[in-house]
Formats: sequence, structure tokens, C-alpha cells
Amino acid sequence: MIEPITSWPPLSFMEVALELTPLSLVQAARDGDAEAFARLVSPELAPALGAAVLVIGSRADAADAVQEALVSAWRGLGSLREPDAFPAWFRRHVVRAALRMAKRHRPWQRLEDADAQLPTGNGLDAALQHRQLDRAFGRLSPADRLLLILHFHWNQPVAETAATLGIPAGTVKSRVHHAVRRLRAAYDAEERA
Amino acid sequence: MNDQDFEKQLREWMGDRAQPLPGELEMLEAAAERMPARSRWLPALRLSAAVVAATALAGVAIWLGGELRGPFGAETPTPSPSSAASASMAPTSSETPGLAPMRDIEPAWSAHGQVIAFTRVTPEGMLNIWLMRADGTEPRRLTEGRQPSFSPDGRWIAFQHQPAGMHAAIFRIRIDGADRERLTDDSSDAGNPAWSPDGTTIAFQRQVSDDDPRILLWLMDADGGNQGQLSPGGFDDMAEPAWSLDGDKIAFSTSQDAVVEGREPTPRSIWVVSNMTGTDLLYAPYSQAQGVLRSPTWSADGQRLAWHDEDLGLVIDGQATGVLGREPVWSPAGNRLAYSVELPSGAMSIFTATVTDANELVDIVQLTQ
Repeated sequence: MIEPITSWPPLSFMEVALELTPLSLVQAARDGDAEAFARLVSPELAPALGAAVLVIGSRADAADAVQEALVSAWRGLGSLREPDAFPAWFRRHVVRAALRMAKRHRPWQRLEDADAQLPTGNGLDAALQHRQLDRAFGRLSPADRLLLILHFHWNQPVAETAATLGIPAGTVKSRVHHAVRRLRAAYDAEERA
Repeated sequence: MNDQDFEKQLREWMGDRAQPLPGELEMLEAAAERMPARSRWLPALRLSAAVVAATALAGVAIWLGGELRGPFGAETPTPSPSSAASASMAPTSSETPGLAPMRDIEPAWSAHGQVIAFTRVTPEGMLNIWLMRADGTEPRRLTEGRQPSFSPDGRWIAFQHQPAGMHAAIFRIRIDGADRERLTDDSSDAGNPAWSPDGTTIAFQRQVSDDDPRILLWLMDADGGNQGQLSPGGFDDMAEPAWSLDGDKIAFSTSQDAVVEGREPTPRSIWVVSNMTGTDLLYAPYSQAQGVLRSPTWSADGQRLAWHDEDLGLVIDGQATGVLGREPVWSPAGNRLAYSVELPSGAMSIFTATVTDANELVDIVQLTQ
């Protein structure tokens, strides 16, 4: 059992002192140590939240989805067979939770403050294109959104994306291709509008 | 904008929109630290559950009394159709490439009886789910997988698939091939999904864990949420769940095939459980029948059960039909039965037949091969 973290020197030091590899952290978390669990998931939270925001289209719901993923991962830790695989394993929990949330049919929100001032000069074009993508991305199915996020934002290898989504590896590239085309069509439609 | 520029734009937009706002990550980190304690009570719970299960098993053994047979010849897992239909959740990977004929197995009806899904096992051992009209026309491949089960609205198929290097899991897919998604996690093998008649729930079988060979029935929401065990005490091996059309009851096949060391193995038999509580064993009219019984299926009116008897073939309410079929499934829309048959060549084919009031099979039609 790991001592309460408050009584210890800064974490980076503790890692060296206790040889807190992911393995021992996973073991500690399995044994019920929530602080060890928090240490494990900490580097995963930003990518998790980012992906959830992009899948769901609502910051508040995205935070809820990540919290759901935290709970399901915490409960399911006993089923994690390879401690080294914790990041990928946790991301699968995030993906499931985000997809579930996205399918509750909440309206897709523009991810940018509508009242935000548009920049002037060189940044204007990019800002306008981003606003166009805000709307176009919301027109995709949650599954398409997720696929594009795994591929372009998380930069997951094809095999990992296939494992995350439970689809054959051979179809990932073509699915990405078709999803991009659908996004492009929506983007162009927004432009015309 | 060309494609490369568009993808670059997309990456930039994603990176921008994915940026956390101040305080968001801190909030999540705090949430991670507040996970409820579990280690202290879990071992105790496991222990007490084991005691309860052992007690219940003893009760069943006593109740069965003289019906318990001597040691039952172990079912050798062969690449035969019976093993494909069995509680075994391993895919048929032991087949000899190039030698096995094509096998069409595991038929499933759509709710209106218009479409039949089935598993086609190629000579190389590839498992694919196919769809066809109920008259056998317009067959087309849907997806890699096996053990299809239609959602009552006909839009989805739940099925089993084992991704390389992972446990067998329950998936679902739209019948147009879209939105394939995995519903069960990778903690242990799962199989034989059965969609509830109201469409909300999927029953399936799941091995307890890699270290615990018991197979139990589970329920989950149709989207994979709320997974929980349906657990009448006293079973080591509950497989092939089949809902009654009113959704009140689940029939399953079971055996004490020595999955727990030291226990007397028994033949597979068929029991019925209430799905409401999952703990009420309603009745077990076929639990003491002679023979090895598999693949229970309910008639549309919920009054009759059909199943496969390894010696007798298709049996309806205890009455042998004389048809040596396997894996019967009753059409939810009427009195037809779909089943698989091993042909003299060793190939397997999907058949349908009409069930008469006298539990005979007439109007037999071969649909595949």
C-alpha cells in the first residue's frame, strides 16, 4: 500500500524513490488506491477530454463523459491484463463513454464562443474556416466524428483504431477516406450557405 | 482547398477545439482521486458469493437426485457443427484449412420473418454473417462474425466476433453494414447474444474470467450499457439464451461439463429462468430429459419450446420430429422453424420448415448451398 501522497515529496521525486512504474501504479490502483489511479489517468485526461468534446460537441457533456469513463475504468481495472496497455485501455473507456453521450441526441454545439471577436488580418481566414468546420463536423454521425478524431487528432495507428472501434483493420483507411469526404461535402455546403 | 490542405485544416481545428479550458482538467483530476473505495470489501464479497453458489449447487445436485448420470463423455471440441452451436465460445479456428466444406450455420430470423441471418464458415475457417430473404434469395455478406441475432425493429444485428489477440465479444451492426460497434469489453469471452423482444436488452453468455471457466448469462442494454449478471444460483455453465416473445422468460442450455474441477459432469439440458429477477428458476421441464439438449427456442405464442437433441435431432416439446437438424430458431412471426443441417458432403445448409400443431415439420425448404 502506498502512503498518502500528501506526506511525500513532490511526485517526480516519489516516482524515482518508489519506482512507481505504470505497473506498480496499476497494481496500487487495482488494490483500491484512488491516488495511484489519479496518477495513472492524469496524462490521459487532456486527450480524453479533447476527444470527448469533439465527438459530443458540448464541453459540459464531454466532461461528464470523461467522468463516466473514469468510473468505468476504475471499476474495470481488474480486467486490465497488460498494465503497459493502460493508456490504450483507458482511451477505449473514453471512446465508449463519449460515443454513448453523443448518441443521446443532444444538439451539436459550436465549439467556439459565438460572440468571440474574429481576429483581423492573417488570422481571419483560418478563424472563418474553423467556424465552418464547427458546423460541418456537427453534421457527421458520432461514429464518423470518432473515427476522424482517432485518426487525425490522436494520430492512432490504423491497427489501434481498428481495435478501439472493433472494426477490421483493413477497413479503417477506407472508412477514414469516406468520412473525410462526407466532412468535405458538409464543409463545402456550409461555404455555399 | 486540396485534400492535404483540408486535412491540415482539420487537424488544426481539432487541436484548437480540443484545448481544455481553465479548470477543466483540474476538475477531472479531482474526480479521479475521488473514486469510491472497493478493495476492502470486494474479497469478502467474493468469498460470500462463492459460499452461496456452492450451497446452491449442492441443492441442485440433491434435487436432481438419481437423475445425475455417471461421468459424461467429455465433448471433444471438434470443428463439427455441433461444437459451433455449442456453449463453447471459441471460434472454429481448429479447422484444417482447405479441407472443410462450406458450412452455413446459426440461422436467425428477423422479427417479421422476412429475412434470415446466418453464419457462413468458409473452408479456411473464416466466419462471416450473411443475410438473405426467408426464401433463400438475395444472399449477401454483412460482416465478419458469427451467432447473429436480429433486433426486433430489424435494424440491427447483434453478433459475436473475436478480434485478433482479443477475447470474443458481442458486437452490433446495422443491417446496412454501418455503425459496427463492440458492446462488451475485453475482460473475458462473451457470445450467443439474444436481443429481447422489446428491443431494449441483449442477453448473452460470458465466461466469468480467464481464470474462472464458469459461463453465466448476462444482460445489457442494447447499446452495451448497464451490463449485469443474470444469476440464478447453482449453474456453472449457462449458454444459448433464448427469450420468450413476451420477454418474461429466458430458456438456456446448461451442463455441468466438469468446468468446475471435481464436479460430476452432466449432459446439457434446458432450463427456463424468469428474466425479471434473474434469480427465479421458473421450471425445468426438460432438465431431466435423456440426451444432450441444446439451442432452445420459443414458439411465437410462448407455449412450445423446440431444441436440438444430439441423438434425436430437432425436438419440439419433447417430441422428436425425425429431422436431424441443429440450431433451431422459431420465427417470431409464425410457425416456421429455421435450422441447419449437415449434408452428406459434410457441408452445412440452412433449412426452414413449417411446424404443425402436432409438432411435425412439413414444407421443408433448403435455402443455402
